[in-house]
Amino acid sequence: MQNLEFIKEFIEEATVHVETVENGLLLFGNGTDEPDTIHGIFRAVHSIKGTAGFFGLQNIIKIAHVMENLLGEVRNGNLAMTNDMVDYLLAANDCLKEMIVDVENSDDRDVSVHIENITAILENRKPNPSIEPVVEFVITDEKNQEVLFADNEKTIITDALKHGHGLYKIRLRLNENIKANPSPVMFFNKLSSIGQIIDSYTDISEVGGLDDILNADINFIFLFTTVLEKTLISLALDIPEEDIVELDIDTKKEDLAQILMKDLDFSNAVQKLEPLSVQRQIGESNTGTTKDIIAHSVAIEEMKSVNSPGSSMISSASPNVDDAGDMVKKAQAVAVDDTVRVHVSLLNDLLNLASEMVLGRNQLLRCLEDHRKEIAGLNSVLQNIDNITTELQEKIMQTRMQPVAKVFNKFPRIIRELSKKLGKDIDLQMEGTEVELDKSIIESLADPLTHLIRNAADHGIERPELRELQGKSKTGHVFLKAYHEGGRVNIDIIDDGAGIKVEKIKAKALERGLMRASEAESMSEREILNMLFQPGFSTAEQVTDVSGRGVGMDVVKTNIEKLGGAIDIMTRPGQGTTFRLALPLTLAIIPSLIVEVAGQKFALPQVNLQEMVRIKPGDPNRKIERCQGAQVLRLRGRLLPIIHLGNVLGLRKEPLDTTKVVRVLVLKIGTKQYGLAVDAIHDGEEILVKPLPKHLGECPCYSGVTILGDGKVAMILNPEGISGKANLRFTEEQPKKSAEEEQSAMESMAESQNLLLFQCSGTETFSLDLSMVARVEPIQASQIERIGEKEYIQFRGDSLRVIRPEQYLPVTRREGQPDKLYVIIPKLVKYPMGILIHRIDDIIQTRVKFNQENIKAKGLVGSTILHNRIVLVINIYDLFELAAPDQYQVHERHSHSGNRRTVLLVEDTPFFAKMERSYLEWAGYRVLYGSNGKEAWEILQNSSVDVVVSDIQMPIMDGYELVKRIRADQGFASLPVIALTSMTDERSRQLGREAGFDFYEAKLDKERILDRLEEALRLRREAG
Amino acid sequence: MTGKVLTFYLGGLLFGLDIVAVKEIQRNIEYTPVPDSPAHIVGLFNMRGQVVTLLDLAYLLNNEKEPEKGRTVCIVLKPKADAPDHIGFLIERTGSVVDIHDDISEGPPANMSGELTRFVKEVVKLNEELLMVIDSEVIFEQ
Repeated sequence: MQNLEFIKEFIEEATVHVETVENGLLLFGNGTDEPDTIHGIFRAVHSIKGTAGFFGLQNIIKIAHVMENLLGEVRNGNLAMTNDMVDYLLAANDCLKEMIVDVENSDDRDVSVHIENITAILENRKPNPSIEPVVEFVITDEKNQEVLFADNEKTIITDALKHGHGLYKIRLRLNENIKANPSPVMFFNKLSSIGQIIDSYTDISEVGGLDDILNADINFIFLFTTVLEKTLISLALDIPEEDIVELDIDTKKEDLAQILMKDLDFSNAVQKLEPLSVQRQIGESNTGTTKDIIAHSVAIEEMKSVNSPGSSMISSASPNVDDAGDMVKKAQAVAVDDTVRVHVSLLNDLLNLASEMVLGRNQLLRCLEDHRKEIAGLNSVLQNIDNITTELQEKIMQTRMQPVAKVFNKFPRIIRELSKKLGKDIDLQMEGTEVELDKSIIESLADPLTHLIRNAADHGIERPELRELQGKSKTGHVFLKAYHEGGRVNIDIIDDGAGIKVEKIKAKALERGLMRASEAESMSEREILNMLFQPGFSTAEQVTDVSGRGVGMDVVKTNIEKLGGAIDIMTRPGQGTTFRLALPLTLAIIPSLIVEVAGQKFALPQVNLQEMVRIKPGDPNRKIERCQGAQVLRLRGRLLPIIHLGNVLGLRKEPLDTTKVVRVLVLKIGTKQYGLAVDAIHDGEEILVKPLPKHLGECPCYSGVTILGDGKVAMILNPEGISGKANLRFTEEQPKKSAEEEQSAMESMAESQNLLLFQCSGTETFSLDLSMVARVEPIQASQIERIGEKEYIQFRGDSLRVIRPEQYLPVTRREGQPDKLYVIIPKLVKYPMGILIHRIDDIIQTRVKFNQENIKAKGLVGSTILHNRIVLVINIYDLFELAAPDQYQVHERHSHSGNRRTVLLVEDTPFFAKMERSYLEWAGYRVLYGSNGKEAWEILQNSSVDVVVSDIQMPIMDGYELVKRIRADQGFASLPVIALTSMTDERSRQLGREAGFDFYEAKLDKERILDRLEEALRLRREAG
Repeated sequence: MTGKVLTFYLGGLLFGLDIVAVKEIQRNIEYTPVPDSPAHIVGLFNMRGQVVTLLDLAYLLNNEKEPEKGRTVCIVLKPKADAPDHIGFLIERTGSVVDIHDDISEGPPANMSGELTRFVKEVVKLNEELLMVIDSEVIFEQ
């Protein structure tokens, strides 16, 4: 059944045409149409009509016909395209689209609405005097019957006549005549290239429906104008001459003359029918509209430039039959499209084979590695195979790449309709439509993106009156942007609407029972925003039929994650929302890192890999610290949770052994970051992703399987799933990407603090800086022993005094204690004491902003708000001084030691700055303050300073740099500089002394700091 | 049923599978275990570029996890249209191919354990021993 193939081809072709029509019409809607637009639409509709004629698809022909009539009027300037017309045409085009997809049932549809609508426009239009005089003519067929034409058809004929074209009626027998041509579509294209079809109809009087058409021979009759003679048409189209009937055109001679005159004066008419003008250049060898007019003109240009014999032959339209036939064929050959349609399954097979070949190459290289030197010439052969395979794979990958325009193109339409439906003014802008992604990704993107676009229009953009009230432009903007970033493609959907109200989401999530009130309190903004992706969540106040049915966002997230992508929300109340999709370029082959745990190899996709960290035991700069079971690594001032892959997968029970070298992979998913420890790291390898076998069920830790170069199967790790399995809860807001302003850059660089949040017997939440905590030990209440007024526990074979902060601080106290308690063992203290607490709340990383001084007491640095709770920050030295005055009381001699001398305190962390300042002021120093080295340096230039006390790790300019500058400057030669730091290991001390610090002390040791200050000042006096 | 059955030993017992359902027998396979996967999954192995999921049939039959025996012989089933993944299971050793017919086979006896009756389609009374014919459909459902 060859005809079935034809139908398929028609569907493919027509689908492209309806898209052209839709896109073109939308340009009219925006007012961004160009002169070419209407021609393009017209040609597309015309082609649909023409080809549908071959199959007797009556409904499609009918709709295409009225559309063509209307478009023809517009094209000829008799009618201006209005918004209403665009709407009707779009609706008709949609109907066409649906019928094309379902050709077999297309004739059962009721299309009368569309036809009536469009006909009505045609009838209602005001008679618009034609710019050019239409020739009065009467056309008769062989039986001398008059043939009637629609106006636009007359125009075509008029135009054709001007160029001396003949008018023919051609009868085609579908099965017979088209045999010589590959298919009706090709035949139609051929027809279009030599002339212009004016009208066509299918004689289906004997045919019942599509099924019959497929088998029966049907007659297809069309009216056709061309410059070619009857014999030439027969030759060119390969149809018998007797099926071609030349029609007589009876025109008044003076009319024709007038038109020809006009044509000579200024080629007004020619310009209007651009295809004709182009084709006239090649000696009018062929006329009429063809769908690949561009290909033609390009071909013509080429012919001109090379000045081939063919071009001269064409330009001298010879009457010789053979020559003319040749000519037609040549023009045809040059115009052939340089693309080939290939079925996707073939591409997929190719891709799979190429991938297997890559694996084969890997195996080959591995096998022959040892013999490279032994066998002469092997090395270059292997290299050659290596390169070719890589290139082959890349090229095949490219065949599957498609521009995102494929998905983006439907959004102007959606936005146009939404803005009408919702009564909002919305403008859609798109950028980066040329960015390419794998076909399978492009296809799966359509639904999620549509959903997000609808959301932006429905929930995001406010009503116009509301926008005006807020001083925004009445028109809302939706911005769709695709761009490359770090080996991935990001797609941003940005609206300048109301933004998402975090409180509202919280309330809704509580109402829906998606979280408990207690959870809500401790959730960060990001976590709350992520509630949007929970199944069964909808924030729309009214459920509209556009969106807000409570399904979708969770599906969006799942779909994006299935593609190996991630979705992120950024919102600013009143200013808009951005959804960011981060997508892999392709799914099939990905670069990965092979890692090993418990003797088993796993593949880790490199897209998520940020860096690899090797931690040697005893390295003071990089060490894994423990925090109540949780292991963390300090990486550039941030705490990175560390989990071991073996623990997550259940391959090992024992916790991470920090006495050996630990290899940590820093992984990033969206804004979340964590460290995955593994036993060994092998090479990087390009792997072919195969889906997880269904029988494995739900294994969140894996995203697929692959076959490694050694032929063994390896699981592909899924960083997202692993973090879920390991119960990593990401609470804190990561600093924004810099580059915005220096301010935000500074903020993100500022040393943030890691706070341990805990509670004692009362309701207050306390916090301590983690840098002052050596460890936290769980203990049983029964282990606490009382000696006199004091409490002790046994700790590492020694007795350790423990204190309860609530006994010394002005906070609530309750009787009774749980069986299980915790003891915080502080570090950097002279006389160790444990702090007894009831419950550990959390460890968070944040930059503390202290509240106004309304909560003030000895033992507290101040208060701050974290997770919507007031948190009291404990001053551990004050607290210890209260608990053990004999050990901790700073000698009274210090109280006025400062003597109004000036200290320049340089410290970026507000918490430490506040504490240190309080010591210094207590001792009677005058304190100047700089939050980093640069600020301090500026202060030094303008003020007289007796001594500098500086932190080491600071943004912009650190302590080392500062002291180097001071030492390099003659004017400050004798200025004492004391380093105060939490890095108190010997190596850091060494570094500090080399940099030029006079003293190197631990932060917060009040007495020692004051001693050092005096000593430094005394030395200076002596030196002076 | 009537037709040829491939027999094999598992846990000392003789089992059989309709030969039509069998793709091939693989020996000396090196499989990759899948940590954190269901208990009845042994691992995955590479059969000429195809990933085959190895099931623990012994576990499925009696719900007991046997200690690792280092078995390397497995039967790979023919993938079906609605279950395109390749699956296979480890066996102790292969038996032979026997012809069976309805006269010598009957349904599983009433006192057979519940787990087994899910898999065993019928019992064939061979001269020397009993052969339990397994329903490959049920394996695919796992």
